[in-house]
Formats: sequence, C-alpha cells, structure tokens
Amino acid sequence: MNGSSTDGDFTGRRILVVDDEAPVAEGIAMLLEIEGASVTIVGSAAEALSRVDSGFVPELFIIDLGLPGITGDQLHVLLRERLPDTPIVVSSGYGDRERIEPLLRDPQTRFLQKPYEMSALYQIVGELLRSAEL
Amino acid sequence: MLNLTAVLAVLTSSPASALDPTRQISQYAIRHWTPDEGLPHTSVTGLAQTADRYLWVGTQEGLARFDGVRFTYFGTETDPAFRSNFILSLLADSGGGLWIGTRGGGLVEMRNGVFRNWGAKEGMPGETIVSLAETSDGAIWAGTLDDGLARIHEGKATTISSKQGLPSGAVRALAAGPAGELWVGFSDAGIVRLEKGSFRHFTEADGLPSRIIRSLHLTEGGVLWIATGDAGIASMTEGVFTPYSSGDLEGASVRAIREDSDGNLWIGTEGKGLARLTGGRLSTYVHVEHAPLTADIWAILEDDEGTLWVGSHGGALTQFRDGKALIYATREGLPHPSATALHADRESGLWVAGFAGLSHFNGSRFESTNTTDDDPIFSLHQDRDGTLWAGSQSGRLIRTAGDGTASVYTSAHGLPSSSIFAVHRDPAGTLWVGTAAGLARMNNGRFTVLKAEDGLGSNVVRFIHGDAQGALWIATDGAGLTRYLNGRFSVWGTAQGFPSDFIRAIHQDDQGVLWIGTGGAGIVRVHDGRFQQFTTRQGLLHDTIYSIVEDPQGNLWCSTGRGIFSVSRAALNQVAAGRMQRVSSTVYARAAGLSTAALEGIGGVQSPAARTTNGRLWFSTAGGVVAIDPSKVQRNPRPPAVHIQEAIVDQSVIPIRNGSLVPPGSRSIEFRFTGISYYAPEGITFRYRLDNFDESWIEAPSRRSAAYTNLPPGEYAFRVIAANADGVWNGDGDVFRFELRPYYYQTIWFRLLLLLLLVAVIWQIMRVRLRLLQAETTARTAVLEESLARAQRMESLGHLASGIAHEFNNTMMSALPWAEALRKQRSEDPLVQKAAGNIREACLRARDITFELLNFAEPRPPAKEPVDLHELVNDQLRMIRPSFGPLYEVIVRRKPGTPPVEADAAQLRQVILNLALNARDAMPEGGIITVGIRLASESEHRLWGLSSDDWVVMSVSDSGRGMSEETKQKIFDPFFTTKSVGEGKGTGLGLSIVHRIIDQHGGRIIVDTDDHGSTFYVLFPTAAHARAGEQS
Repeated sequence: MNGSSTDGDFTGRRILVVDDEAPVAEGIAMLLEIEGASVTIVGSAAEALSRVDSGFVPELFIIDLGLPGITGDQLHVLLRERLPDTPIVVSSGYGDRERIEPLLRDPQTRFLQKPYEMSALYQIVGELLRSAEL
Repeated sequence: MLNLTAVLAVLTSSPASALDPTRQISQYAIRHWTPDEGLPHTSVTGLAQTADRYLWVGTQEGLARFDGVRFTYFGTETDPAFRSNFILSLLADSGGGLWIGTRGGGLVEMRNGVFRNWGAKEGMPGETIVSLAETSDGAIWAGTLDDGLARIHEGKATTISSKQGLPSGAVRALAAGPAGELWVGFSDAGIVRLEKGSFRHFTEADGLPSRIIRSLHLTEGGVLWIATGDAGIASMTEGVFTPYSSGDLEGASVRAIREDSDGNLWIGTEGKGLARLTGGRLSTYVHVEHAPLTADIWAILEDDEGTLWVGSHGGALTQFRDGKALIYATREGLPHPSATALHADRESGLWVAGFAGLSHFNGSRFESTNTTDDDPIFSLHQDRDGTLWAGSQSGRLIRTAGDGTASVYTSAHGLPSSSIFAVHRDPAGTLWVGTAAGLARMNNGRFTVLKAEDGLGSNVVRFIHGDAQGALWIATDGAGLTRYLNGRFSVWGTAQGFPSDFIRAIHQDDQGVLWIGTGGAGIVRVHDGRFQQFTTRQGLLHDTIYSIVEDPQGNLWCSTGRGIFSVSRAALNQVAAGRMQRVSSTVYARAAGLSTAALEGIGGVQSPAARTTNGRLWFSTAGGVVAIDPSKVQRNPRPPAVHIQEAIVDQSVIPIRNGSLVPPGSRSIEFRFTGISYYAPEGITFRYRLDNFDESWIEAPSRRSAAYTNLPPGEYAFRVIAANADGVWNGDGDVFRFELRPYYYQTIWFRLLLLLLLVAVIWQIMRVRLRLLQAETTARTAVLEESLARAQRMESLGHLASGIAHEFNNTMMSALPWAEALRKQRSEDPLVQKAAGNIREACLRARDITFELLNFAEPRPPAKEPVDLHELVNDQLRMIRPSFGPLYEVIVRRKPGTPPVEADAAQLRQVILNLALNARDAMPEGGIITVGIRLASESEHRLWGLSSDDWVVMSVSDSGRGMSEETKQKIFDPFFTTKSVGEGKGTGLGLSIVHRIIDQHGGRIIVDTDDHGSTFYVLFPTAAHARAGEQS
C-alpha cells in the first residue's frame, strides 16, 4: 500500500503551500507531512509574501494559480524577485497554457494539473528538492 | 510608605529619557492628540497611568484608555457605573486599580476591568469628586466640593466634613505624604494637614500667599508645592512657605503642578500656558502658539518612560519628549524660517544660508550677517584662511574675508547670470562654481564657463566634489554624474547605464568610494568604474537623497523629503558584495522630534548637510536646521508592555481570560493586541505566534492584529511579544490560552461520510446538467441549419463545459489528497481502505471525464506529421485491448502499400480510442470489432464525392444491431449518448471530439449502419496529397 513512499521522505524540508481553498491546502500539506515535510499553509499571495519578507524562507513553494487578489502567476514573479532559485510548483484546475507556459521557462518551476495524485506530487517535489540541493 | 508621588515613583522607577532641562520647551518633540485621533473630548481634565502602563485620560465627555495609538472610550455609554461623563479627577492606586472622580456622578472604581460606582448610598459625602489621593495605609481619599472628604478603606467609605472640624466643605486638592499624613487644599480656606485624626490649619497668617487652593503636589524631596487660584505658586518646606509669583505667574491661577523625575517643576496655568521651573528659576513658557494645546492647562503627568503629558481645556492631549533630533527654527533664533546650504567652520560653529540671508551659529545663538539683502543664498564654501564664499539665487558670488570685508563677483567677472547652486575649491586650489548655466572656473579674479557643448553633461550643476586624484565630480540635473579629469569630461547618465540623471549629493569615503545621492534612484556606490544602486528595496528610507554626511563610526547620514536616516557604510558594502540582501536604516522623523516642515529636507544645493567639529550633524530643512549628535542619541532601554486586548470570533468579541472556550464551528478568530511605549508608539514592532498552529514567530511590523481562519479544534495559546522603537524586546509579552471546541462531526468518520456524499452529489449534479444541456441542444438542432448549429453549440457548450470542468478539478483536489492520505495512513483498517479507495477511484474517474470535457472545450490545432496509420492503430489497440475483456475480438486489416497520412498522432489516438470504445459499447453482449486501412476506391470517390487525390480510409466496424436513423443523425452531437445515465460511462463527447479532430485534419467521417452493425469510415488526405494542397 505504501508503494510510492520511495519518492517521498521529505523529512524536515520546509514547504509553503499557498492555496485559498483550505481543504485543498490542508490535504496537500497532509500528504507532504506524512513524508516528514514541515508544511506551512497560507491562503493568499499577500500572506505568502509577508512571510517571506519577514524572513521565513521555505525550500519549496506550492502555489495555486487561481488565488484571489494577487494571482498565482503574479506571485510567481514576486517570489522570483526575492528568491531566484527556490523551487516552485504551480498548480491549477484550469489548463490555461498561456499563463502557465511563461512560468515554466524558469528552470526551478513545475506545473501540476489539479487534481493530481499523491504519486505525482511526491515525484515532482522530490525532483525539485533534489535538484535544488545540487 | 506610599502616597501618590510614591506610586508615581514606583511607576517611573526608570524613566528612559527624562526631559532635558537645557532644551527650550519648543525644542522638545511635541505631539498632540485631538478628537480626530479618538480623544473623547478636547477638554482633558485628568491623567493617570495604571500599573499595566496604560495611560488614562479623563475628559468632559468620558474616560479613555490610551496605548499610544488607540483610544478606548469608557463612560455612560459603555457602563452603568458611570452616572456622569464629566471626569474631574483620576488616581491610579498601588493595587493596579483606577479611581475616577466625576462631576455629579460620584466616584467610579475600576479594578480588573470591572467598574463600580461609589455614591451617596455607599456613604460618599457628595457626588462631585474633584481630587483623589492614596495614603500609605492603602486608603483612598476623595475630596468633594460639597461636603468634605471621604476615606475609602477595605470596601467602606467614611466621611470627614466640617462637622469633624474641617475649615470648609470645598476640598479642592489632596496630597499624601510619606508619614501617612494627608494635605488637604480648600478652594476657600487654605490648607489642612491631617494626620491620625488631628488637624493643623494653614492660612495667609502662616505665609500662604492665598487661601484659594487649586492643586497640591508633594515632591520626593519632601517639598509641598501649592498652586493657588489668584497668586501663582508657593512651596512649603518644614512649615515655611516661599511664594513664586514673579513674572507671568504674578496673580496667576494655576490648576496643575507636578515635578518630573529630573527635578523640573511643570506648572499649568489658566490663560498663560505651561511653565517650567528649572533650578529655582522660572524659565520657559508655552503659549497658544502650540495649538491645539491651549493656554488653559488642566492636567500634567509624567509617565514611566519620562515623557510629559499635558491636558488642556478646549485643546488636546499633548506629549513632550526629548526627541533624538533637535530643531533650530525661528523660535530658537534662526533668522530665517528655512535653511538651504550649511557649512561647518573650523571652530565648531555653523554657517547657515537661507532664503532670507546668512547666519552663523556659535553653539548657543545665531548671528545674522545681512550681506545679501533679499537674494537667497544657495551655496556656501569656506577656505582654509576663513574666507567665506556664498553663491546666490541671482548669480552673485559673495566673498567675505576673515576680517569681514566683502566683495561680490557677478556677470561682470564672467559668471553666468544664473543661480549658483555649488561652490567648491578643489585640492589643487582652483575655485569652481556650479550654476544653472554651466560650470565656472575662477582664474585671477575672472571666470571661464564650461557648458554642455564643452562636454559637461548638462548645464545645471548642483554639487561639485574634487577627489585626491585630481578628478572633479560634478552632479548635474538631467545628465547624471560628470567627471572632469585632465581637461576632459566623462558623463554617466541613464544613457550610459547609470541609474539616474539627477544627482543631488556626492560623498567620498576614506576608501575612495564615491556615494552618490540621486533624485529618485536612491544611493549609487561608485568604485573602480562600477556602479551599485541602493534603494528603498534594499532598506533605505527614501529614493531621493538630498545630502550624505558620514559620522566617525562609518554611518552615512542622509536627508530626504521624509526625514533623515542613517545607514551603516559597512552594511552597504556587504550588500554591494552580495553577502547581504538588505540594510536597515535608522530613521529620524516624527518620532525623533521633527516637525512636519522639518521632515521636508532641502536638496539641490551645496551642501544641505554638515558635520561640525563637535561631532554634531546638521541638516537643512523646510522647518529650520536639524541637529543630531550621533554619539548622544539615546536608546530607550525600557521594553514595551504587551497586552492582548480582544479576541473576535466570527465578528463577536470573546473575553480574554486564559482557558476561554471558543464555540465549535468558529471559522475565523482575530486577535487584537497592543504594545505600550509612549516614547515612540508607532515604532513598536510585534511578533505573534499561535502555539499548536504556527511553527515560528510571525513578524507583524506594526499591525496590531492577527487573524486565523478554519482552525481545527484543539487547545491553543496565542502569544505576542514586542520591541520598542529602539529594538528592545519584551520577550515575555502576553499570552491568551483558549480551546476551540470540536463539533461531533469534526471526527474523522463523519468527514469520510461527508466526502463520499460530496463526490456522489457532484456526480449527480454533473449528470443532471449534462442532460439539461442535451435537451436544449436537441431542441435547437431542429431549428438551425445543422453545421452552423453544431459550430455554435460547440462554442457555447465549450465555455460551459470548460467552466464546469475547471471547477470540478479544483473540487476534486479537496477530496483526493485526503483519500490518499487515509489509505496510506490507515492501511490496517479494511473499511477505511475500501472507503478511501472508492473515493480515490471516483475522483480519478471524475478527473478523466473533466479532462475529456476540457479537451472538447479547448481544442488545440493539430501538429501534423506523416503518420503510419497501421502502426498507430496497432499500438493504440494494444493499449486498450486488455480493458475490453474476453467477449470481444479485434481484427485489424491493412491493404499493403497504403501511404502514410498527414496527421497529429496524439489526436489520431483519440480518434481510434473513441471509435473503438463506441464499437464496443454498441455490442454489450460482445462481438467483433474490425478495423480496416486502405486507399479509397474509385466507386467510393464517386459515392462520397471525393476529390481526385488519394484518400486513406480507416473503417471501424462492429457486429452489433446498428442504429436508428434518428440516432445516426445525432451521433456526432456533443452530449448525445445512448448509454443510460446510471451506467456512469461516457459523456457523449467521444464522437464529437472524433468529428472535430477529423474536421481539423481536412478529413471526412461517414457512418453506415444496418441490422448487422455499423461502420464508421474515416477519410484522411495522404501525406503527399496534404503537402501538395498546402503548396498550392
């Protein structure tokens, strides 16, 4: 039953999840926490930025594209200004390519189409965290 | 032994920064709070500070608690214990309580946030309480205007009135002494000393200047100060009265008198403002010019940080503090209201140029030198021999020799007739003059002018700096920084990649690094031909820098339009080297004592800042000259008090009591908190943290609230800590513990059930919607021409479908991770395994459908390439064949030599998939699916009206029972399906997608059906044919 655990083991890794839908954010957080990650959830881009600006620097961001206020793609730009190399996973229930494609030019950014399975999440997060270590 | 003074002394045990007696009162940082800021009324009648450090302000319209930022009103509108809103007196007692004397509404006691009224019923002699004191035995004394005095002790009030021998009933003032004695002042009968039930009465006969007493104050040194209603003030030591009624105090009515912790005596008069008595001498007054403070002073209090609070009648609440900066404006003798250029002389004096003249400050006073009439001076320079050069607005350069003789250079000497912004003598001894019309060089008393055409970037020269290498650095307006070296100009403006075209200040440090202050682009570090820019993003206060001076500790001090800031040069170098991201600026603005006008620096002249030999830094501003002594900037050592004031749960306030219960289902909790440091209230910074939720402290630089939503049930502790404006932390802060109760359904089982329900409901809604759409579609089909209708339907349905699909994708995401987490974490429980597995399957199935919907709604143009259809068909069927089960046989036939087609392979796979699925679904009991691949025959060309080019035919046949004519007509309509809803299969989109893909490939699809089954013929142009078509 735990066949995908080889992708996981994020023990002690700091991950910030930005999603305005609490059940979604909490669900993702739970999956990551099962693998040992230390996950912080915020519900808006503004909150994410204020955390970063006040010194909280996660090792990976998971951000929803359709955030209220400052949207996920704007947040991506604002985060990149501050943290040029921190991996970012952008996810969306929408498939709008023209918003996603420019973000994917950044080598440390990946896209996950919602809804995604645990295995896909573990794989992408694992890859990004490993590549950030190199 | 405690009395009021002693209570204050406890509170003021370590005043952080008392009031410097050497300053003029106008040089204190003075700040007012009026009803615009929340003060209940303009007449402040009483002031007190309780042990929790809150300041309490009594007014004619109620009581306010003040934390330095917010006023919280208490009065008849908030509590029935208040029977009158007119506050007359306040006393903070040694037990943390507050006593409030009102006019006509008795006495109010506040303890632990609860108010209680003391009136006639409780044994009080009157309803108007004008004075309050606490004696060392813990008794509270209340003076009434009507009938004497009440003593409140251990919950009981007893009365002492004229019946017990008081000379009058009108008790106006009280002061408690260290030996347990009480001094009582009467509004018509002098003073009584009350001790252990015995009286001693003092009147004019004893040397008291008046029998009309307004206020009493006993100092720590044992001096009793007496404020009278018609004869100024007097002191009494060991029975001897000494009147102070000279000058303005002669015959004055004094309502408030208080000694501060530095020994200054503060005197609040009626009609004559605030006076200070320092060293036995009445020194300074504040009059109505400080409006909104009026000349009628009613209340004075020193708080525990040593700042002085003054309440005036019809005015405001006013605070006096030692600011970190000192302003010299016209009130302090500056002959002109604003300053332009400054120049430090060699004897710690300062030359100050202004819009109206030139003056010299020798450390105590300004001396005006009226050499320039009405021509403002913009620039100053002093030679080593003491010769002073001043450049004026009209273009006159005034030379004043050490002996005072002046000579003037004008256009007659070759200067341009234009404002002189800069004067500089370079290390080689040449005098340079920067004007609005070029750069002038002096040679034997004559000037030659270099202009833009000579290579100078712009003709407007604001600042000139000569370095040790013989280069001249010139700040220009419009063309950036210009260097003049060996007779040649080099220009660095935005055109050359320099961050700014407007240069305001140039400073060179002892390492030879140039620091350039720009208009709008911050500070630029120039070294070895490289630029490094620092702006507000790196932590500067402002991006327009008027001046840069350096202190001996290596800090750069800059004036701006928002105040003055200092920043460490070493830190800037760290940022330049990439070792740090940001620097921190220390800001000297309003909290440092700058007036509104003094916040606005002056720029564009040489030079608006100077360092005098005594180490003081000077800056010219629109509000005078500002002085800061970096070696004497006081740090406030007292950490702020921290209070969590309120918790707001779903819009209703719950009490702050540790162990509070928050009702189940609460969605949002907001905490409001405050920090108390009256020295610089806005400079307090906070960190908060919700234990059990936040992993680390959250910085809340100045916001005094924190909100959480959707907290899971559990026990929490909300903590706040704070630092004062100088970064001194109160690490204990305040904490609020509470429990968020769970609903029964916040259990894991109920949630699981809910999830199943959710998925089922979503599913049903989707089916119903699709059926409604289908009905609509069918109706419209009958009316509209078929192909047009299809196109329109496809578009509008596309939008709708895409919207629904996206919503579902998001919704699914709130179920799927939970199901997976459950499955992973509860692998030992078979029921959980089955339930979570089913949810997961349902989500994945729903996801597949939404992907299909999205595919339909958002087609992408085919990426065509030559495709071997046979290979693709085999490959695709191999993938899907296993899912068909044993009832079906699949046969692929291909005519040898069939050419490749020009198509998008991925889309063709969808075509094959959907046609195969359709064939399977047409034969619920099983059967044979035949796929054929060949070139179209001659007869087919004729039958289907094909062009003469080669066409490849892919046929997909089933051995079912065929379809009705009606079904055949609608088979490609979106959402048309013959499968029943309950089967949970298909969306009716498969064949629509097939149809559109084939359209996009320029192909055709034809259906043939009879009782023995149906065949779909898909026709594609061959690769060669498609290429030829494109070329023509």
